[in-house]
Amino acid sequence: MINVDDIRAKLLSKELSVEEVVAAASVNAKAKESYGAFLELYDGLEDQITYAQKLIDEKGEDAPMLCGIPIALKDNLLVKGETATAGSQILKGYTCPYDATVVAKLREQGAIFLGRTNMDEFAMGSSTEHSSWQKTLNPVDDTRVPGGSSGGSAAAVGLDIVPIALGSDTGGSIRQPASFCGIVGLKPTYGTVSRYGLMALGSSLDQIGPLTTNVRDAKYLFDAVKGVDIKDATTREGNEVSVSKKMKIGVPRDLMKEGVDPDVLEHFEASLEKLKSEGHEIVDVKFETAKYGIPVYYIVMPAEASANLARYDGVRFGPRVDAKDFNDSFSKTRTEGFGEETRRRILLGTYVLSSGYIDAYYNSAEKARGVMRKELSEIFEDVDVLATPSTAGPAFKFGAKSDPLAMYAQDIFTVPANLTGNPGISVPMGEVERDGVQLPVGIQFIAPHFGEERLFTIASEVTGEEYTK
Amino acid sequence: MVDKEDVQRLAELARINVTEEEKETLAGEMSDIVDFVSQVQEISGDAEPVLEHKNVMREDGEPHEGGIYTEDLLKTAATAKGKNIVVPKIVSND
Repeated sequence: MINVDDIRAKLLSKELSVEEVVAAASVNAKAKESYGAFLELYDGLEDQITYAQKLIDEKGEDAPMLCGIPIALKDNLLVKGETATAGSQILKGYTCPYDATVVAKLREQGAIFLGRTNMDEFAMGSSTEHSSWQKTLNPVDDTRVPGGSSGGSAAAVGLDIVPIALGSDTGGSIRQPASFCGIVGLKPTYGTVSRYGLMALGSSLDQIGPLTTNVRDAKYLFDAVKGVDIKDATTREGNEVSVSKKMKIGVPRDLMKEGVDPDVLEHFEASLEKLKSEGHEIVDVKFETAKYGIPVYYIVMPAEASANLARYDGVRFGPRVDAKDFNDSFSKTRTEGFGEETRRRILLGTYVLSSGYIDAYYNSAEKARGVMRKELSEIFEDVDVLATPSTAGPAFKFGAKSDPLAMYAQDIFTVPANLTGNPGISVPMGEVERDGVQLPVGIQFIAPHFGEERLFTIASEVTGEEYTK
Repeated sequence: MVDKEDVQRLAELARINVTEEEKETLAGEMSDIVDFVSQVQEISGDAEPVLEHKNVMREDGEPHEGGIYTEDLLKTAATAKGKNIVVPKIVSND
């Protein structure tokens, strides 16, 4: 698969120009259009290409790492002058008035925005089937979903169209599609990457992060977009987390007793064996609150979503359905503009926040979240990282999870890190066979806050990459 | 347990219209979900505050030039007139 180092080497040696690299990506994207990874390929990249080529010509080796590299952006990130819809009809035709902070950073560094990628509406889903625009097919097996909600970004990388893409992860929306598409996905520590210009789903959970073909590229992209931002008051600097050569890896096996496919577990155990043979220590840990992750998440996230999505009123953005008065117009616009899952979650969020129920649900969930956070920080006093499978099984067929609770169960291993703000990475750990097709599955590592470097180090041992900080 | 009346009330609060048929389906689905998430009440123990974030203030000075974003922001509105966003009538007589 293509990667940043290879493309960069060719750009620096002048074997390829930025224009040629971008043209190749565009041709490839058009050839693979039937997979539905992109909602739109941006026009008018000439200025970006000229700027990147100039940086490379003038600075050579000192040009920013991602200079001249084509990147795909999830449809919930704002790119000035371009359309962004978060997968929703309610933002049909919305033109972004400014750049998201991550986009502005990448623009300055000379990365080339190839296009915007498909996603579940407002990032609500784990299969990209909730996009109001189109289906996205899994790059490995086109009868299966790519995962979600960053399914388009994962497919664009999995199809080898771009080496890197940005997604957002609220409950697993980067790591789960990475696992399903056989690539690397990182959800950074809450507060490391600015959310300014990211359309909000659950503001205390959302984090923007990379989807890439290898661990090193995930590090390059993370480094390119991270940093404190005055426009996002939740961004902050963390203390450096040490990285030892030989790590103590905690495995919460209680969580895997049921519901995980046996061949996924086999690959998981084999990956741990490999790490053990390389000198790492594997220990069982109890992470008792983790089993409450999904119920806690499905209170907090809809609650925050119902508040965040109140802004879609047909007044300031998107189309409006006119009616006899403001309230009627407000309701009609939202009814037509929001899809089924979005409406369900808004109603659920409204329910858990309503006066009779807020203590029983929302406040209990917030308390539970604090208990989980405490338990996890105590676990990290003893171990360097936690390891779990990224998902309980490989990519599923379209329509296989039509029951909302079955879809929600997808996030079992990924939600705890969002609830506690910890960083998590998914990297491919092998393939399992379904209906005669080999499907990728991922292993997830979770580290203490700001412990991304630990994640890159241990994950690259699984993928067998050379990795140095 | 979420019933059809609950769904109707929530839908009104959230400014979403639901048909009779949707009320039925949503009441069923939401009851299942609410039952499932009720488990959170079982969790006990010491909690660590979830957010360590502080309010971040900036110096109240050096404002940007007035009006430089107005045009771009007005463009995203469904209807605008001059420097105003036009909305349907808010107070109705009936």
